[in-house]
Amino acid sequence: MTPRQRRMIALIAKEARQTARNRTALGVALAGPIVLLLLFAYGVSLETERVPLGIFVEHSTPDTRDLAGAFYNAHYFHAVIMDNRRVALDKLATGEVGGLIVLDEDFARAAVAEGNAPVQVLVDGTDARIARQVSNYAEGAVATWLAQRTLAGRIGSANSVGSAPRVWFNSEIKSRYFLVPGIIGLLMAVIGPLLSALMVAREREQGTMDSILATPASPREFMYAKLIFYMSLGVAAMTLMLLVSVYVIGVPFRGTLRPLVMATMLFVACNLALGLLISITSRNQLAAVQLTLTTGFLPAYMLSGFLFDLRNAPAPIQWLSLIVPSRYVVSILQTTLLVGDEWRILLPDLGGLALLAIALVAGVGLLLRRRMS
Amino acid sequence: MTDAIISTGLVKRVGGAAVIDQVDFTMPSGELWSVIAPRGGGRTTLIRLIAGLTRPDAGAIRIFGRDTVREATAVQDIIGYVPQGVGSYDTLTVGENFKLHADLRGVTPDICPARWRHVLGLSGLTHLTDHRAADLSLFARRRLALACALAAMPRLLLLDELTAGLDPASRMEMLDVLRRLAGDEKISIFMSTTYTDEAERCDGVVFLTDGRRVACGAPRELTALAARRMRAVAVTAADRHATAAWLRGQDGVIDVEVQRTCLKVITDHPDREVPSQLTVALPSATTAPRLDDAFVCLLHDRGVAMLAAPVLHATAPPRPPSGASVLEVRGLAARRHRRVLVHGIGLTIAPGEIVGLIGPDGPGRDLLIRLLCGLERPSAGVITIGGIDLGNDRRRALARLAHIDSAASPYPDLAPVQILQFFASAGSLRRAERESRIGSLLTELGLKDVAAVPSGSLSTALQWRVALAAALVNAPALMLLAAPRAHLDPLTRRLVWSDVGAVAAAGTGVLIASQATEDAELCDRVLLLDFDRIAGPALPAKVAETAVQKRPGSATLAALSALFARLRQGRSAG
Repeated sequence: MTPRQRRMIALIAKEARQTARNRTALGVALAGPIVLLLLFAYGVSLETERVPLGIFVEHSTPDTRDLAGAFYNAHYFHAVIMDNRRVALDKLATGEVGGLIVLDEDFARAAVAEGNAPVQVLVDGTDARIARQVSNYAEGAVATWLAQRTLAGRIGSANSVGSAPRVWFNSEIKSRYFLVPGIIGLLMAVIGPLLSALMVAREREQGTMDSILATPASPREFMYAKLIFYMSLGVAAMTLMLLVSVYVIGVPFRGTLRPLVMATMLFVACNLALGLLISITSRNQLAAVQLTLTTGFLPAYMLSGFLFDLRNAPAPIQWLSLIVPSRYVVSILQTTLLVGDEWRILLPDLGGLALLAIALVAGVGLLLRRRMS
Repeated sequence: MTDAIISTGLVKRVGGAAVIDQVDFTMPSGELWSVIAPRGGGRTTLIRLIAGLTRPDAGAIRIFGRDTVREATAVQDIIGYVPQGVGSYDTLTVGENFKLHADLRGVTPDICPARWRHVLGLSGLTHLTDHRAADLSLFARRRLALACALAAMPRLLLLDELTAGLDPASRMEMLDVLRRLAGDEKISIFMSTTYTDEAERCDGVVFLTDGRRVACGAPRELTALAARRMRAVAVTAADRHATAAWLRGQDGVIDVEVQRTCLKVITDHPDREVPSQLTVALPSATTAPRLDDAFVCLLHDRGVAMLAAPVLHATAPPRPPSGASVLEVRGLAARRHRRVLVHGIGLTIAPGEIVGLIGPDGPGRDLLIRLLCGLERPSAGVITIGGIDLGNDRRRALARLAHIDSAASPYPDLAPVQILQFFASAGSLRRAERESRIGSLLTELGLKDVAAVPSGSLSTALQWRVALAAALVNAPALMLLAAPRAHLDPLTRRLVWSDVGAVAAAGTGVLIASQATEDAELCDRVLLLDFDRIAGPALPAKVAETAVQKRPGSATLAALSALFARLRQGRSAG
């Protein structure tokens, strides 16, 4: 064994011992991600289900009852039927209902007589996404109801041209399946840099870093020993999260392990190297945390395609997202989990991730050399 | 034999300003040297330069003939370095910390056990190998850091403030260890310190101010230089402050240090006559010239002027009824995290009395000070400040207390007058009274000309005055002063003490927490505190009753060490 190897082993063993005895670090690295993952997966949803919807019926007729029933039975809505206009409008104003279907005096008469029923749909536009969904669904429901009425009245039962949608890759269209890979990427983008940045900042504050660097161990050995150890911790955290995603949350796993393992290693390396870069430039633990949140969390949140589809972003933002590791890993996870090993997507993503990892790890070495001289 | 360290024309700049400026010195092999400097004086930078952790901008250092930049690896193989702070990993045991350093230094496992026993013996850690570093006392942690640096038996040991925060007895024990290392093991040692009593025990000392070398040489030679310019003047306890104030105004007097029965006067020239009939011969036990006196002489000769000591007339606190004490503590006990840290403390301070709280930094002392400041409640005992029970009437009791926890300005961005107005607004004085009091404090403490300048830009001496003025603005009965000596230059230290004398002369009681023996010598009485020194269940802090009662006329280092030793013996026997 060369002296350098012995030094690396000693340094890695030191990190392992410290971590094993430091409950906070273990909690942050392993328990935290699982708790947050479950919280996000079951607490956050992009779907609008059971939106409270008011149906104001001024004059109850079989027609109004029929249409109200269509809303009543839809699982998108939690419909409440009301007969007082003022109360109904109040409820919309206070946000108790997300939308209001107004079936007034004219409705039934016009519907039957003229074939175009005047249905007023009032929508609370505060949340644009829910508003759009409510208005779309309401329009569709009324149109369908009207069409059915017309057909039933004139031709009886008849076949008409229809569409039978079939959704690929996420047949239940559960946003959870789509979100989980994003959440994994987001959590790792915070926890990875935080772990490595904090540990180095602490060594600096306590003077332990100086005492190591005054030995034959070089700054680079010191940093790379940390990188290697935290790699294993980060990979363990990510493996745990993937296991929970597939076996607890029930996200399908249609690909194979190979791209998943490669992506995990590269992604963890990126984030840890980012943390080390932060720790080299920041003076204390507080500065390290602040810098981690701005360089790790925010880009991962906004530029990874986790919530906001990058294809809709302006070109400069799309280019900027190319240096955000989460962007690649979110795409890789979504592909391997939901689609399968589609290498036409995976190869460019893995390549980008690898380039980033190499640049960041090399950056650590370069910056160290600059800082030390 | 080649010299251990040769520094020639050494310069290190940080952001344009020179932190180390043209420093030359040569330390022979096998000696124990110290670098002494005030905060920001360049101590740590010098040590880091020697350790090769940072590169000089000009000049060079040679360690046993090897250049620290061009032969960095060769140099790292022969040095051991202990940085500031704890320097060892909290969660690792003593043994694991040591093994890490041994591995990093290539001490192969087959020779490690022997080395292990040897170094542990040297640093006295044999019975603590399996304890985690976090559980050790500060003293044991410092010995562990020393042991780690010794792992490969270096030829040169670099120690950055290894003794900071330790009590006098522990510091002297550490110095004994270092002397043995230099003597028996032939290890050259270069250490930094803020305590001149340690520097006096070294073979050589480098004194830096603002990165420049002010003095370099054997402590004995430096003090001999000062001795010829020093006089002692016998006084009585009653007239000592008045005499000192008069003497300070005389021609050629640089500094007057007030002791209980005599004044130590430093003049500007060996032939200077001190105009007093009472002059007695040097040296006596406490008036012997110290290294600190030599630094005062040297700084004066370089044209650094000292501020005049104040005479506090208008700002004296209301006189308490005769016989009343400004502080009375009875049967004080408190615990933190279910550990008894303070136990059985009793103390009385009379108006105008200066009492020293001598003991190591640590949770015990912190807790005691927090108790006195009303920040924490004791589990037993009574604290009375200025005749008011802290437990019954916290607000009124605390109004009589002023706490200075740092000799620097409390708000560097504010001007002195703003700081005083702020502190006064927290007190009970009426507006008109407040304004006149602030005005007279600014005049008496020599802050009038700088009253509107941001206090952070002032000199250390003036910043201390700002802190003092803020403390005095509400006419406290008791002033609590934490570690006034650490990190200050010798002149400011003298100023702090002459100011404290003036505060006491005006009738305020003063309690000073410190680890320096020089501080102990200047107190009317000292209270020795000993907190948990070894691993294991924490032992409560104890008070050496004998020491409290005793006037520390001869409370020199040896006496203090002996008292600490007795204290500990009594405890292990009990």
